[in-house]
Amino acid sequence: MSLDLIFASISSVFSLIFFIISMTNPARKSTYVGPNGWPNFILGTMFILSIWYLIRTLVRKKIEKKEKESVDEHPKKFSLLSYENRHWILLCVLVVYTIVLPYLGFFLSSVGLFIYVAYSLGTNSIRKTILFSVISMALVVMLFGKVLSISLPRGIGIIETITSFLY
Amino acid sequence: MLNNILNGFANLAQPTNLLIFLAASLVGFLGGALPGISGTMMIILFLPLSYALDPIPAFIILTTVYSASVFSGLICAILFRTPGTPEAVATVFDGYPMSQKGRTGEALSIGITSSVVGGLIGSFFLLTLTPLLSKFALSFSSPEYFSLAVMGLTVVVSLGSKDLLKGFLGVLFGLFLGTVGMDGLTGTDRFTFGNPNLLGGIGLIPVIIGLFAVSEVLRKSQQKEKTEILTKKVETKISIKLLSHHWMVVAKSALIGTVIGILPGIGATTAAMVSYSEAVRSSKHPELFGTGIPEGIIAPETANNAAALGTMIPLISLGIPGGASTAVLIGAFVMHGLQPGPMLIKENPSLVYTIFVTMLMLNFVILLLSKPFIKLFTKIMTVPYHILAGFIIVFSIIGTYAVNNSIMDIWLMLLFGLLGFYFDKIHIPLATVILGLVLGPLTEKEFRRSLEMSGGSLSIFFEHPICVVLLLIALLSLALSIYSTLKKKANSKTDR
Repeated sequence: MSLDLIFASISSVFSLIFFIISMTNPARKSTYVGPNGWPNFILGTMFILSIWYLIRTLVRKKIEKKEKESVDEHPKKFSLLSYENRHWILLCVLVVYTIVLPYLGFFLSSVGLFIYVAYSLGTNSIRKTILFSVISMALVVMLFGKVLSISLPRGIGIIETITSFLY
Repeated sequence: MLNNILNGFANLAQPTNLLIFLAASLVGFLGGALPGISGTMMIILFLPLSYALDPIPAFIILTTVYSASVFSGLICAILFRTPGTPEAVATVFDGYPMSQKGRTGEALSIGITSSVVGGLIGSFFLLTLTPLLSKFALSFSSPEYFSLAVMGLTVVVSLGSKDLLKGFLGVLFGLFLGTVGMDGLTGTDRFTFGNPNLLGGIGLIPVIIGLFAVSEVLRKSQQKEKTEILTKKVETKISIKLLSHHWMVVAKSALIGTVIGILPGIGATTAAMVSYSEAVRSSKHPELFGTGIPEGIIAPETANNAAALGTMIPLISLGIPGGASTAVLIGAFVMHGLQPGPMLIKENPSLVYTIFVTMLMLNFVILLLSKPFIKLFTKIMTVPYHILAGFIIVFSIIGTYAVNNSIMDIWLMLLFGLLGFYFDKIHIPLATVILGLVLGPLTEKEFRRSLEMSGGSLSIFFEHPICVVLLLIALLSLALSIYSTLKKKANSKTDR
């Protein structure tokens, strides 16, 4: 229920902010429906429905609270390492990956990413995983970089020189 | 015409051309199976190679890699919740749930069979009715396009039947995403905040890959126990009998796919979405869509392959691209000193009918290639997920990055991955977001163009018979869907 509340709130604020941005956008005048007409309609409708959703969620939460009044609920302890929050760590790793990608190049970054993903999802042997990731990423970059001629980030400096042998 | 068709067969049967055709089929099939490697990209990759060849082998390569990639886009859609090509996005909605139930082989078989049937029907129209269909395509103008898009959008009620409010919010979000970028009619920047990477809008591929593939990996990272999907030992049959109970869905989807394919500027992705929408709307059990039912795979796969061939009709007969891929093909024609249009069939019947025959024969080659590949791909499901997830993420990143060589697309993919993860948690159907994103720009563009044509009067939508019919269908189905959804909810409350 709290996720619904968070989403309803974000949705309301989001649609309102963008509606205001759209209304104040100095668009070129068009004869009929201008460039802001359609976004205004969408965002206005989205705002109304978001408020409706927010009210509905609050009402349902109130009803649920009344029904659960007799039950003692111990609040859960937040832990980043718990399974419920592991997606945040994976997402952070993906963010770091995207930041270092232009600098380390595709091959090195992807080897690191592959090793982490396998480790976090429960690989049995880290040594085998490292070996497998190096070989498989080398094959992947050769397939996409050399065979299909898809331009992948090479990195900078000496890394760029080394990866140019691969792709 | 018969002489030209036989000539086409003779050209294709030449050893060099045949070898090129078979190699291109394999490459296109494998390429389309990889997430983010679309048919358009395959054509672009092979364009420089084709320049060195004569026109006939050149166009055999280009049209074969494109059509084969549309066929195989369903593989990753079913296995990994990641459409291999944008045309397969609607296949994810039921293909992946069916695979998760252990019916991977069945899902792939149904998908391939539907694709072949759609391709055969599209080929038939291509071979026999090109001049007639091109005249029909010319009768469509902005009001008709608008009403077609609205008809596609109204299925949001069925897709979001469990919670109408969330369904509408999902589609509105998708519609909003479609407004980001430069407005096509006035050149105004909308919601770009000065970022040049957003001028072209938010790409479909980062959104699809993020919403489906990345969110799935994030979801699986939360699981405590390693879950194994027990793949039932299903005989992988490629048989028309698989579709015999759903011939109505097949027929409608093939028709929708062909009609939308021949309309310039729309493409196979829209055809797949509209066909899926129509299958949901006309089903006796629309609430089952999204849980892994055969119709949910048959509808989009039949339509997208019929449409992929249908897009060749306006290209060859009118010189107007039916979609992004055929727009690139126009470049290929120009490179070889040819001008697509009404004169092309008259001046180069040999080339044109070789292309048509190639696309027909590809259906049979896909049938041959599919059975071993289905068994292979089904076995992939037995690979431990901690290995698969790494490949899914890496291929997703490559596919996303390769579109524009832009890191911005990867950021967008991650953002939509997080959004998709939470949308799944709060039960906002991802299908509605994609529906809005695919159909929104078309709806807006054609609505505004219609008003420009009519001088600001809404009566234009009532003056075109096709438009009136489509809008009435949309309105009626919307009203009926809302009524039946609310009635079901009221009945379930009274039952409690």
